[in-house]
Amino acid sequence: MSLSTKLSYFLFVIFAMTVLGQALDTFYYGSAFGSTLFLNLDLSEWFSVKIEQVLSVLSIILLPTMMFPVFKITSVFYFFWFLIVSFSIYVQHATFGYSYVLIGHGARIIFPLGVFYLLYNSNNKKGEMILKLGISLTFLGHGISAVSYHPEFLDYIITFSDEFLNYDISYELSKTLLIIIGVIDIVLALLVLIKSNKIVWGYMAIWGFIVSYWRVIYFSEGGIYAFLVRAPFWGIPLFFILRDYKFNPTFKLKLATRT
Amino acid sequence: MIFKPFLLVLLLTQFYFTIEAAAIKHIRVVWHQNPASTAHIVWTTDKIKCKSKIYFDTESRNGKIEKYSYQEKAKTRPYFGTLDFRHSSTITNLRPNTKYYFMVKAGDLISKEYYFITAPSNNESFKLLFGGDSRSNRLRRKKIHKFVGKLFEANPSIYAFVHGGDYISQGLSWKLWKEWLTDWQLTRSSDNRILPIIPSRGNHEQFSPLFNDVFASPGGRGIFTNFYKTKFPNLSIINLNSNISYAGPQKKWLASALNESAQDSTFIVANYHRPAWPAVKKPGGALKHWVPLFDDYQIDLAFESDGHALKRTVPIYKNKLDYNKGVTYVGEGGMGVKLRFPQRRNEWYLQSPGYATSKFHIMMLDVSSNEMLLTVNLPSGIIFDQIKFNKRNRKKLIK
Repeated sequence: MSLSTKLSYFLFVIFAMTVLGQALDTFYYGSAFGSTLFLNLDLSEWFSVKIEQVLSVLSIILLPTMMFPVFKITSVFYFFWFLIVSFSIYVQHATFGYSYVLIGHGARIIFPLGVFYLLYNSNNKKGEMILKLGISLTFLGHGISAVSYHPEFLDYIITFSDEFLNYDISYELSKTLLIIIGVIDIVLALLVLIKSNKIVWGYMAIWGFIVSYWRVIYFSEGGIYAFLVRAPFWGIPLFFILRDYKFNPTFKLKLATRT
Repeated sequence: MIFKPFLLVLLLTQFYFTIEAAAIKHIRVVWHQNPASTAHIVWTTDKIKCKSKIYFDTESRNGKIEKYSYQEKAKTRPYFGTLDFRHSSTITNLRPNTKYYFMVKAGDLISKEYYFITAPSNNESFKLLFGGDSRSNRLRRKKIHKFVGKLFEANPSIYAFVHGGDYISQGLSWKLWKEWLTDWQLTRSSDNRILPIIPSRGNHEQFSPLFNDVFASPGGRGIFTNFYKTKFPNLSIINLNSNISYAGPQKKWLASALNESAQDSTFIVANYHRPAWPAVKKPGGALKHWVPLFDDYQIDLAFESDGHALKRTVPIYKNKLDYNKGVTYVGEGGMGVKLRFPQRRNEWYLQSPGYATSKFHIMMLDVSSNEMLLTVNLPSGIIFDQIKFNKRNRKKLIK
């Protein structure tokens, strides 16, 4: 298997993790999309839940078809599926930072389009730009949440300090740390579009993995789906690191089935 | 000629809006920490910036404002982001378990006479109502508010309503708040007794400053506050805010409030929006950060909302069923919102004597010196469930 094929598979695995996380979370716990169907569009709860579950199952079933370019339109389905779930969070007005949720979910929303261009159209420039834009939006959205003192992020810092460092961190210090984290996120969100380099990608990959995996530590088994759906946080930066340092820049991504 | 009917319509419209503007509306009594001695009276006027006052007395003055023995100035300012004015007056040094008759005045506008009864201060028994989630369907909310009014009228020993949040769908919408405030008037008794409200924030109020405008900033000004303890003679109600950090200052405050309550109260009840032990959806941060403290102090009962269902858990202590030390969690929001099917009904904590079902409901807590009785009332008049709580010995738990 060539290195470019391996890289294609890597991108596909990251994408599959995102889809699985979203699908399983929606299937078992429901999503804002179901709430919107049920509460805003006044559908019956049974019907709203079934629509959500059918879409979740469908998104898992369709995943293997992504291996075959003939089914490339599937990525458009995923794009709309992620978009509609995130947009429903905005519609529900029920969570912190709902007004910029589409920014924060940027990576997962436009990831399918990036995959579309990189794997099927061999349009590396467009595909990479989409992935860069997605990860940039996600870091920007999370940075805005952090500088706005997202309560859950504050709880993460306090809990980490308490449980892993055995240090009773003050609320003020945790707020200051959150501001620093948020500013770094925002700066990186801009840098990645203007001038990305290995330090930027490296930080994003490590930080993205830490904050994603933290969900598993914090929520125990309940955080597994949250970890999966956040795979692009570290997967996209890692993809760029691997591409830049392992491959010829003129490579063409392709899945094994294409050859 | 064509202008005459037009002018007439214009004049009538103007007249209508003048009348609309000239009303004192949304009078409510809000209780925060000390309901036996302090009450917050809040009301609304349309687009009128004026001096306003509350006139009050322990006897009815039949609407003769000059006869009231006491008066207190109100603070007047616009509701956040609106042209409507909010008038708020905090009256203190009240006598416990006493009828207070009052009228409010804003400029030249004078209200009718209303009254409320302050909380008792000794071992007299009393009742409180609990409920949450009245967003999304106004018609059903009105019906439930009328039902609350009916319960209030039939049980004069009901002193207040403890609300679990999600009054409306979008906390920043003044239009929705106005509708809710109008609908809340349906809880008033036929003799103009007002049912005081003890509020907590829901996730649909989020960080809206209008919540503080409507309820006179319970637990302090600012959007990262709104956690406080309401003290009744035998009972402490710990009102928490599940929209802000669970682990931050609120957790420290909770530990100290529970320690204090273990000393000064026979019964301890928590009230917050997002469930720790849900019948619907995932558990909130309360499970990780607050439940261990509830266990440490063996509180009696926790009121949860948010799920749009009716539930009762088994008594839970350290994540296991424990009939001696366990905390019972009830809820979870059924004041008119479209009800959900409790997907988590098969969880161990919702097995008998617990349950989870889809029903509109209002809970009534009857508190006496040695026991507490929780009744789950359905709008049809059926009593769906009753739970008895005996006095717990918390002396060893005090730190």
